[in-house]
Amino acid sequence: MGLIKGRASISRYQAAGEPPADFWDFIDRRVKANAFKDIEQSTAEIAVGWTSVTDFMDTQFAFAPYSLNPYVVLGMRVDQRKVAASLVNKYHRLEMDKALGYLEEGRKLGRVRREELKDKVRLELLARIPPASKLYEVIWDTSRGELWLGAGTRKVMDLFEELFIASFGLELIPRIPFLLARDLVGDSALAARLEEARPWGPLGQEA
Amino acid sequence: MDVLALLNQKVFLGQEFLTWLWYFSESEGGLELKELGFVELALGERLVLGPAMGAEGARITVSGREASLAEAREGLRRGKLVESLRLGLEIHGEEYWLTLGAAELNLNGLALPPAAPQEAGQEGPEGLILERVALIENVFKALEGLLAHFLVLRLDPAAQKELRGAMAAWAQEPNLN
Repeated sequence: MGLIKGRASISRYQAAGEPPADFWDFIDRRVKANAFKDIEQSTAEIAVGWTSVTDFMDTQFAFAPYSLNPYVVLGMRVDQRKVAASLVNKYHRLEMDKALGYLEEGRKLGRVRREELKDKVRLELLARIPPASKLYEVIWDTSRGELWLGAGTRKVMDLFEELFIASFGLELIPRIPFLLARDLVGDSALAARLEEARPWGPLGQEA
Repeated sequence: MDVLALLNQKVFLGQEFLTWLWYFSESEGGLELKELGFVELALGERLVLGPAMGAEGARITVSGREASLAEAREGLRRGKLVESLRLGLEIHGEEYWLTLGAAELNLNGLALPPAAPQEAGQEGPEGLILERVALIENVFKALEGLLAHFLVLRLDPAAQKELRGAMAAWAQEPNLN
């Protein structure tokens, strides 16, 4: 579901903090430093990094495709391997049977050995399972410090917040209703009333 | 800034705003906004009510074109408020649909009007991206305009009393669906 086509889910943020004067050079350096790094040939379970928004294989950013002044437009690629518990259980059982074959009859495997075998099986399976890739679009309006993430799940939001802060060193503040309301009332007479507002409570009962 | 603490302490504001959007869509049907002109509102096919802040209880989900809103109205009378709703906006004659959540005002299932086809000779996705950005900004402008209107009523003691009374009376109305 995307910001650029189809139906969209959007989480909205405000970037807080002062970006450096050489903004676009800074963006170029930080995007490239935090570009997506492939985990195809490893056993890593998850990798998160920036790519071009229109090509999730583009991590070189030739001609700065992220720059659409005043917008920074990026793809956040998330590659993840998932090993089904049933698969781990099956191969764990096979490994334990094999290990038992080396023991004297009647002896059992200790807890530590069983755990070691489970870890070994899990790593072997991770190496055999290719990671699935997902791309989430990010649009950053640098003129207003506003960001949109093309996702609405907490897990993806957490990954994005971590990557953004690690990349750019700016704080990300979700545009929750109260903070949006604070911006909307500004320093008008309503500002103090907003801070002091208490819940209405159930409708149909006297306030 | 402890956003999580603010989120927990002030969640009522989002619940009240969404409940007001439902009320407002039925009572007024829309609002004249500075940059967008008259924005028409329509309640969509999904409505979730949950306990008001500080209260306990189950959620009520009403969905589907044929679903009666009677159960949702009953939920209001039992003290629940809107946690999420499907909302239609008509801006400049074009339809936008979105599901809005009370806690963070995140948008889900946002359906935008179709972007204009790219002109011959136009290369790259820049035009398309900028057009989508403009359409998404329309949605946020409309929501901010509606929230600002709600806040003026909600934060003024006299207007709040009148609004709350009107919404309480609306909640008591027999459902017409």
